[in-house]
Amino acid sequence: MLVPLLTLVRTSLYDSDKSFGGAGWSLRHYVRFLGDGFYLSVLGQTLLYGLIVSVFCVVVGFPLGYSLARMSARGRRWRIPMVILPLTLSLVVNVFGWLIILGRGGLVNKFLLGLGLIDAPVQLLFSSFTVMLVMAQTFLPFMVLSIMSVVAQIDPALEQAAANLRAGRWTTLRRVVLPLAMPGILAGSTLVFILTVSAFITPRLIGGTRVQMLGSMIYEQTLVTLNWPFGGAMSLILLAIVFVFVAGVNRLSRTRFSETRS
Amino acid sequence: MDRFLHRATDVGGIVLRTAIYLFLALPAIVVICASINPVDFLGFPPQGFTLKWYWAAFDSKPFMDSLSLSTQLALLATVASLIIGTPAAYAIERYRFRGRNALQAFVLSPMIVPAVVLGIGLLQFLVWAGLSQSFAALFLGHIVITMPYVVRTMTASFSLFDRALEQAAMNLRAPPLTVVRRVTLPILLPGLLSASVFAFVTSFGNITVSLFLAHGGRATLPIQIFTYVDYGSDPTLAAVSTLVILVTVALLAVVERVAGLQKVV
Amino acid sequence: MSASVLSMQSLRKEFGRMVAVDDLSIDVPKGELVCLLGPSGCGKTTTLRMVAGFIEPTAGEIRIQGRDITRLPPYKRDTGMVFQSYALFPHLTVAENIEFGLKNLKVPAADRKTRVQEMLQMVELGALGGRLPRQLSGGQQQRVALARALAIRPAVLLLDEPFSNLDAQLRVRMREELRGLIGKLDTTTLFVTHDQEEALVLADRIVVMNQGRVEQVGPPREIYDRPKTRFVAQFIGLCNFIPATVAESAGDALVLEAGQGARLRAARAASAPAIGTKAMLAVRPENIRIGNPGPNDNRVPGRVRTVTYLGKASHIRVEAAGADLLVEDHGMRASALQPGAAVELAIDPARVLVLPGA
Repeated sequence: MLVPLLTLVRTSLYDSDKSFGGAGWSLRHYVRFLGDGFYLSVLGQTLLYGLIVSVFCVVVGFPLGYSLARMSARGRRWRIPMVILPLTLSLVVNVFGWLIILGRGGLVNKFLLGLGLIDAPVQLLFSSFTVMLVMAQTFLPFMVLSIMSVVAQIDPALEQAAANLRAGRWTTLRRVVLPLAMPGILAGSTLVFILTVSAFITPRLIGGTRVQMLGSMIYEQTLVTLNWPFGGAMSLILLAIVFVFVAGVNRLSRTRFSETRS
Repeated sequence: MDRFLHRATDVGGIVLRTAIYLFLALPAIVVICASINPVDFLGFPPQGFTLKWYWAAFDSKPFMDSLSLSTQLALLATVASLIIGTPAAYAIERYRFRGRNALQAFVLSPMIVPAVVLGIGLLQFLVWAGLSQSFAALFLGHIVITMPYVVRTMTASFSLFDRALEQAAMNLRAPPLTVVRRVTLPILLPGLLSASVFAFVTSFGNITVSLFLAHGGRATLPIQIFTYVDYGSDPTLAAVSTLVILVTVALLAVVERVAGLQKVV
Repeated sequence: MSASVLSMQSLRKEFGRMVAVDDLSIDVPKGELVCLLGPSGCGKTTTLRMVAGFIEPTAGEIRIQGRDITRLPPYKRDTGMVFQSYALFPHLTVAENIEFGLKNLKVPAADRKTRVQEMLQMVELGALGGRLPRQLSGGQQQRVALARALAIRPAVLLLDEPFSNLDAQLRVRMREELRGLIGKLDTTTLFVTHDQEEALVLADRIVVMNQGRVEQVGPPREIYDRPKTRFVAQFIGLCNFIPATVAESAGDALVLEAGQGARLRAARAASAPAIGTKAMLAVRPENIRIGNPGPNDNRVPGRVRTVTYLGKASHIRVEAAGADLLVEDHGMRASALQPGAAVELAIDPARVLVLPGA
C-alpha cells in the first residue's frame, strides 16, 4: 500500500511527459495543473458534484436508514439485500443498466413518449445531471448503512421522551434524532464524497466526453495519453483533497458532536 | 386535521421509501429484462422471452475466457486475503500492541484511498517491480482491495466471540486443537463465510483497480463488459451482466441464510 | 494436607504493578462448599481462575487431591466450572453441551448417552436435550451450565457468580436447588460471589476478601456474629460503628467511653485492646432494642431522627453515643415513634464487638 504510493510520488516528480526514464526532477506537473484554468475548473466541478451527490444521498438515505434501524429483523431480511446490491454488484453492470434505462430507446424515454410529454426521444445521457444521479444510486448504500448503524444505537425511548415533552414529529426529528445521528450522516457523507470525486467509470460511460471529472482525466492521462507523471501528480492532488476532507469532517464530528458519541 | 397530517406523512414515507428501493434496484432489474428480450436492441420492457442471448454469451470466447479469469482471480484473492486477514483481525481485536492502530489503518486504507489513486500507484509500482500486466499484478491488486472486507468482518466476528467459550471448552478437558476445531471454528464460521463472500464479490466485480492492472492481454469479466459497453450495445452483454447479477445475488443469499446479512454489513 | 481436595498455598498474582491476590492460603476438604466473598476487584475471581488454570499465579502453589497443578494447562486439571455468562456453546444443543466434556475424556458413546440423560434428569431438563441454548430461559441455561460442569465428575466444582444474571426470585430458587444438589453429590466446591446473602445461605465456610487479601475465614455464623475487622462487619449485613476509648476492664467485660457521655460494656474478645486505646464498637441494628432493657443490658439514651417502615420491620435512626445509629425494630412500637422523641436503647454487651482502631 505504501510502496505504490511512494512510487506514485516519485513518478509525479519526473521532469518529462513520458512514463519511463525521465531525466531530472521537477514540480512542473503540479504547476501545470494548478496554473491552468481548465484543470482548475474541472477540479472545481468535481468537488461541486461531490457535494451535490453527498447532500442528495443524505436527503434520500436518511428516511431509508432510519426506517431500517427501527424495523424488526424480519422486515430487514429482504430490504438489506436490496440496499447493498448496488454496492456488491460490479460497477460496470450497474452502469450498463443505467445506459439501458437512459438510452434513446430506454425506459425513461418510452415512459415520457407514452405519456405524450415529448414527441421524440430526448438525449438523457451525457449530462452532468444523469452522471450525478447514477453516482448517487451507486453510492447511496454507504449512506443508508452508515445512518442505519448510528440510528440503531439511539435509544427509541429518547424519541418517546421527546414526544412526551410535547415535541411533534418534526421537532423530535430536528432536535433529537438528527443531532444524535450526525456522526453517521457525516461518516456516510465522507464516503460518498470520496467515491464521487474519484469516480471515473461512471463519468466516462454516462457522461462521455461532455462531463469532465478529475477521475476520468487521471484515467485518460494514465491509460490513453500515457503521461504518467501528469496523471500521478493529479492523483496525488486528489488524494490530498480526500485527506483534507476526511480530516476536516473528523474534526467537525469530534468537536461538535463529541458529546453524542460517549 | 392533525390526524390527517400524521396519516399523510405516514403514507408519504412509505411511497418515498418504496421509490428509493426501486431506484436502488432498477439497473439490475432492467439488465435482467433486457437479457431475455428477443428484440436485438437493448429495450425495455421486454417484448417476449428468449434465452438466445445466453447461448450467444456462452459461445463467445472473450466472455467465457474473462469469466473464468475473473472466477479464478476472485477465488485466489479471497483465499489469500482470508489467510492474511484473519490473523491480522485476530491480532487487532485480541491484543493491545504497539502499532496496532497503524496496522488497522493500513489494512483498511484501501477503503478510503480512491480507487484511481490505488490503481495508478499499483500500476507504476508493478511496472517498476517488473510484474505489470501479469496475473500476479491482478492477484496482488485484488488482495489489496479484498483485504479490508476480510479484516473488518473478522474483527467484528472476533469481538463478538466470547472468550469464556474457549475457556469453558478447556475446562471440559478439550486440548487446544480440539478447542479450535469444535468451538472456535464452528462459531466463527458465519463470519468467515461472509468475509469470503464479500471478498469474492468485491474482487469478482472490480473494475476500477483491474482496469489499470490488466490493460490489454487477458481481461477480467468487468473489463470485458466495460470494453463492450464502450463500443456499442449488444444484448449478449445483458446476458453476461445478468450472470454477474445472479452470482452476486446468490452469494448474498448464502450469507443471509448462514449469517444474517444485517449482522455483517 | 492430604485430607483436603483443593489446597492453595501462599497464592499471589500480580498484574503489572497491581497485586490482585496477595498471600492467599485455603484448604478445602472433601465435600465442603467454600465461598469467596468480596466486592468487585477484591481478587476473588482471579483466585477462581487461577484454580481453573486461565490465569497463572505469580507465586504460590495449587494442589488438587494432592497433585500439584499450579503450572498445568486448564484441560489437564480436574475442575468443572460454571461461568458467570454460562458460556454455553451456542452451536451445540443442550445434550451436546453436556456431552462435550465426556467426549474429551473419551467416555464410550453408550455411557455418554446415559450420563447425559442422568444429568438432564438431575437438573430437571429431561425433555429439553435437543434445544439450543438460546431457546432456553436464563434459569434453564444456568442448569445446563451446572449439568455440563458436573457431567465430567470433577474433583472440584468452580462457580463464578452463577446467579448474577438471574432475577431476584429465580436467584433464591436456584440457590436452594444448587444447595440441595451439591449436598447430595458431596462435591467439593469453590464459589465466588459478591452477594453476602448468597454466601451466608450456601457456604460451609466463607472467605471474605478485600483488595487481594483475606480478611477473615470462617463459617457463616461466625463471620456474621464475630466479624474480625470493620470491613467484614460492614460488608456482611448492616452494622453500626461507634468510636470509643477503652476505659476499664471489669471481669470478663470491657467498659468503653463513647460520645455524649455514654459508657458501654462489651464482652471481652480474645485480643482485647489495652486501657486508654481507641477502639471501634460494632453493633448490628437488630441487636439494639428501643426500651424494654434486660437486667444486664447497656442502656443508652438517644433521640429519634427518622422512622422508616419496611413491612416486616421498621428502621429507626437514633442519635446516641455520639453516633447515628440504625435500629431494626420488629415490634409495632416503632410506628408510634415520632422524630425528635427521646428514647432509651438497650444493647446486650455480648452483642457489642470491639474492633481495633478508630
